Amino acid sequence: MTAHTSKEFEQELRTLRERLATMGERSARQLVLAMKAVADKDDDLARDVIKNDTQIDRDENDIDELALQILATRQPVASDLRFITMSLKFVVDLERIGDLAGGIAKRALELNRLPSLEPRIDLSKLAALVQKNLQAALDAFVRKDADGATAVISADAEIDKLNASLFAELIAHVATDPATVTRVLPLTSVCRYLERVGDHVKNLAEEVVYMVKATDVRHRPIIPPN
Amino acid sequence: MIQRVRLRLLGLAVLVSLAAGLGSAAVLRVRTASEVLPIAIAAFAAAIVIGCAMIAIVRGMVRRLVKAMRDVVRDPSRRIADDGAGDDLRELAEWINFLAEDADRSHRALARERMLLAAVADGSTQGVIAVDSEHRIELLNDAARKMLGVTSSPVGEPLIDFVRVPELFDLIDSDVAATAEVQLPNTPRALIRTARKWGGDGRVLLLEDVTTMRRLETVRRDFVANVSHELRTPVAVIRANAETLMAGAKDDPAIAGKLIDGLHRNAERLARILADLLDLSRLDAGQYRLELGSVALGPVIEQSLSAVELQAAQRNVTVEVASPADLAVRADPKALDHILVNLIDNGVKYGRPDGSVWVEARLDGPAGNAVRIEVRDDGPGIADKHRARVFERFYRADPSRSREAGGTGLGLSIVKHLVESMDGEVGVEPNLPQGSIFWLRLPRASSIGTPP
Repeated sequence: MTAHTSKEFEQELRTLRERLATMGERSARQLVLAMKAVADKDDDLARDVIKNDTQIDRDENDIDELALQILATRQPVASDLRFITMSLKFVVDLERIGDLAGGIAKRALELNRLPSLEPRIDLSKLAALVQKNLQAALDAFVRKDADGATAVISADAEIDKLNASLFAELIAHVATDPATVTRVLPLTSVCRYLERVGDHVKNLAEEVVYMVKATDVRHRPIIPPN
Repeated sequence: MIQRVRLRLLGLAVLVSLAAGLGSAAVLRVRTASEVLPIAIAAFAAAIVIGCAMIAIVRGMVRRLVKAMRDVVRDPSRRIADDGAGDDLRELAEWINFLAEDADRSHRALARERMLLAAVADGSTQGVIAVDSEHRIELLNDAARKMLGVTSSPVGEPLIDFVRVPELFDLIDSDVAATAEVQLPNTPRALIRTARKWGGDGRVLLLEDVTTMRRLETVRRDFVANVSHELRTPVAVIRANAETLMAGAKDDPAIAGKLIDGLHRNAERLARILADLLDLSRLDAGQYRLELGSVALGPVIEQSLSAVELQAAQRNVTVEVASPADLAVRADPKALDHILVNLIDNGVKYGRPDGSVWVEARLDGPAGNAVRIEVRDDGPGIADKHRARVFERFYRADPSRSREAGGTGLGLSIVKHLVESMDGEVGVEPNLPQGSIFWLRLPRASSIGTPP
């Protein structure tokens, strides 16, 4: 961060950056736990995830308030202004990721009441890809790494592809045995939630590129990093 | 500064030359003005030349002093040499040398202190994190780096660039002593504790790996709960049956027979649990005498198969054995039989009805100095969260099923104890796509009949 004359301003920006990064970590953790609740058929864990979502909502409110307070009292310009406007969008995506993790936990509670699908549908690869991308986006944010963020944007296509193939596999289950529909439906939701988390991660990465390079890369063809 | 000195010296030279000119004019005042003027000019010029020479000498000395000082600053072990400069300059050099020596000493002491601090911190099994008032890294010891999964932690960089654990930052900002228990990248359960403030708003945090402690607490809690449950069930049946008999059922032969049968079965069950518990406590106390020798695997496996034959026939489970004929392990024959019967019996009991159980032995280890014995089944398998705990006393992955199958809940913990007492290892893995693999590794015996 560039040097500022006001020490308090400096501290406010630092706090904002830390709060965003730790909120990101909290959302990422929720996603890991929700997928673990699905894999281990663990009701207690799923209920924990649903309960912990309130903390992420609180984070969103706090960060919004802090960002607005900085805007109102410091009238930031240039990179500081970009950082603050970015944080207002960043926080929304992180909160949505938290909500989707909560959604996965709710589906886990439904799935735990039902017998497993045979053969099993392996969601772990999709989940691992989304989790890895989320961590990479958060890394790019704290390190102000535009190339890292661009790589995250490109990686989203892989998530979409994997999601589509899992979806086809799930539909095939219903086609061969319509009785499996009650088990397939929550699983398709989990897949869709993961794919949507992937989209929010892509947004996070685009916001990081904007913060670092002041270029808007939304809705544009992806140029791979050199 | 130098410029000012130079101007002052030049002024001095001009003054000296003027004085010299005027002085000589006064001495020679008998001469006419036309005679005096050249002398005065000559004296003035001489004074200017002398003045400039003096300036050059002084400037040279100052320049040498500056160069020497620069060398001292770059390398604190160097000193300014006494090169015959004037008294004032020599004193100045001495003072600079003194300062340099002092700085050098403090520098060494500081470096020693830092090394000592790093050695103490890195030697500790507790993680230590120190940040300054702006949350920049001051210190992250080896243990903290390991727990947090951080490979580098450059001093002076923001901590958030490397660690994003929310609770950690909450504690850094906390004004009161507080703790938080969290999952860290490389530590399933870690306790973070605020230590103290330092240097204004800097903070020291301590990290402690409490994974084993918490696991043992859970094991102990579950053991007490389970043991009372396991004992209470047969006692309740015995008491109820006895009370019913006393209340008059003893005179009704049809009912009495059933009740007495129940009494007997549950008394047997209690006796089995107690015998197992006693075995376990003997194993724990090291009182269980094992006689280690070379044991041929083939006959022991055959013998344990005959013990589970009936059970396998009832559930229509096929048991297949694959073991090289001449394989021998270093073990106690009775204990090994107990282990194999237990594992194969579990495979038969908890596997699929009409399924299969495979018993396989083969050489293992880098030099083939161990033998791995596997008991695989194609049953429903054990969920991940239960798998790590099935060797605990009274731990049941599926309580209703295992009680129905007649287990005491202690079989696998006895197996684990026995295997470990014979310098072996035991574990369980999923048998993909379905079922479980219980494996044990024992030291290989050199040849049958010869104790190693």
